[in-house]
Amino acid sequence: MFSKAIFLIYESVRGLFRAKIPALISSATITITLVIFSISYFSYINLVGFSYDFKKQYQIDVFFDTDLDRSESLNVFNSILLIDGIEQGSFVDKDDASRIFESYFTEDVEQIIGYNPLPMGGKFELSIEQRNPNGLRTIVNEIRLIPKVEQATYQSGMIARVDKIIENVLGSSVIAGIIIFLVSVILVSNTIRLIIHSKEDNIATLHLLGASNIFIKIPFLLEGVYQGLIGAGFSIGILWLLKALLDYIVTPFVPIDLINPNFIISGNLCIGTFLGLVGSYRGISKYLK
Amino acid sequence: MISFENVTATYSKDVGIFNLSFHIPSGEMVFIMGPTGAGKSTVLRAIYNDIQISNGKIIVDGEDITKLKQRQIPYYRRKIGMIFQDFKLLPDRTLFENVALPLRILGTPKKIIVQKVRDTLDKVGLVDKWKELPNQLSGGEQQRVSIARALVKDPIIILADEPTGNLDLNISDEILDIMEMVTKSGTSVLMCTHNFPLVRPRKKNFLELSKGRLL
Repeated sequence: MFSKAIFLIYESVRGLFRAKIPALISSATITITLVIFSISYFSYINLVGFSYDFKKQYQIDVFFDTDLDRSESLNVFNSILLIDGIEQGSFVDKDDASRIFESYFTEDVEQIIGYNPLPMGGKFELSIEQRNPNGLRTIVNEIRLIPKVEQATYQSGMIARVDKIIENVLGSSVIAGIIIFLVSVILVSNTIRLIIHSKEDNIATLHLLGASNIFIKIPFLLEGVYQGLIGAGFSIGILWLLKALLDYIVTPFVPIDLINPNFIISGNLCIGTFLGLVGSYRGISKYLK
Repeated sequence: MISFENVTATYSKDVGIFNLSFHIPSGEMVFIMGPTGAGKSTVLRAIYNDIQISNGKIIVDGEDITKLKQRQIPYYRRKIGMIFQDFKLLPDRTLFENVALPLRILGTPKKIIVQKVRDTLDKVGLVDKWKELPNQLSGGEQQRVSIARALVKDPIIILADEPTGNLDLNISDEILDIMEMVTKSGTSVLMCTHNFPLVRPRKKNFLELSKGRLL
């Protein structure tokens, strides 16, 4: 058994060197797939981070009735904080409201009309799962039902648009990832099929000598794994160069979250091996049922 | 060793073998004679289970091989040595590797492989050429390699399909000598040929076929 295993491993390495060009094409396909995959994943992670930061700014502005005193306003404020989906809030009293007015219009409202007519209110941030147009709408409607709440608003149009864009970009990157993966599997399996096709006579002879299908399959499957590992090696090299380029050109100006290199290396090796194995299995299965 | 009981295997209505019955004991060398298309190769294919039998039984070494499941066929074939007119050697492997292949399939340890391959190549007179590739050898030498590959696993039967078809008379005689020598160890040899003058002086058993039927 051990001698058979050694022989099959030896055969697979030999097979790789015998069909250098197809093996190289296969490895190159895996390299390209992994580079695109890694870049897409990197973009995805940064986009998710960006979207998280951006959505943090989603907030609901609430204005209370103008006739409420500070303690009544604080009661209303606290009852809003108790609503599910509200993460935190900041109370806005008449002075704060006046400062906000001044920051927008560069005028002191008390100087213009002689007193401060602005209502007290609050700014509320949402929990992560509610940071979307539906969540916002639901919570705003709930706030509006609370007595003494004059108005509750959010930037619905802009939020819906941004949310749609982020959703589309993330959705398309997932679809693109699946397509790239499938194309790569097809390319690898076709390359393995080409190699197998050129060895069809040898396979027939092996069958006549009593070789089982698994005995014939294993070297081809291992070849696929080696191609995957070689492809992953090249892809890690390319990504390392791209990272160096990114560090030099972009990072000084735009802060970018880099993925843990160990994760990228192990991820590339795993996906590369998996791609090679699935591709070669698909290729050999068309010949040996 | 090999018994055919009313075996029928057909490719089409008139092509194949029909209702064949015969018995070959251990250690016998039997020639299957007949013109092209007589069904000689089909008899061998039936024995190595490469063709579907539509009727009858084939008993090899006490086992009805027509009842073997698909996954059992490779294990059964490991007991049989096969020799072909076109040698069917792997062109990118050395003589040693070609002859060692059946033992690799059996999972034989390396030490034993080296010893057995050397002994077998010695038997067919090619031990000095173990490093060469098949295309560096003459037709006769290639056929001897093919015989060595069949012999190396100590088979119970050797099936030879026109093994001398591409060889001249002297070389063909050498090949037959080797095959005859094999029977002394109890291996049955079943050889197809249409070259009657070559095998006539051997005084062996003959099965003569015509249009898939025994004459």
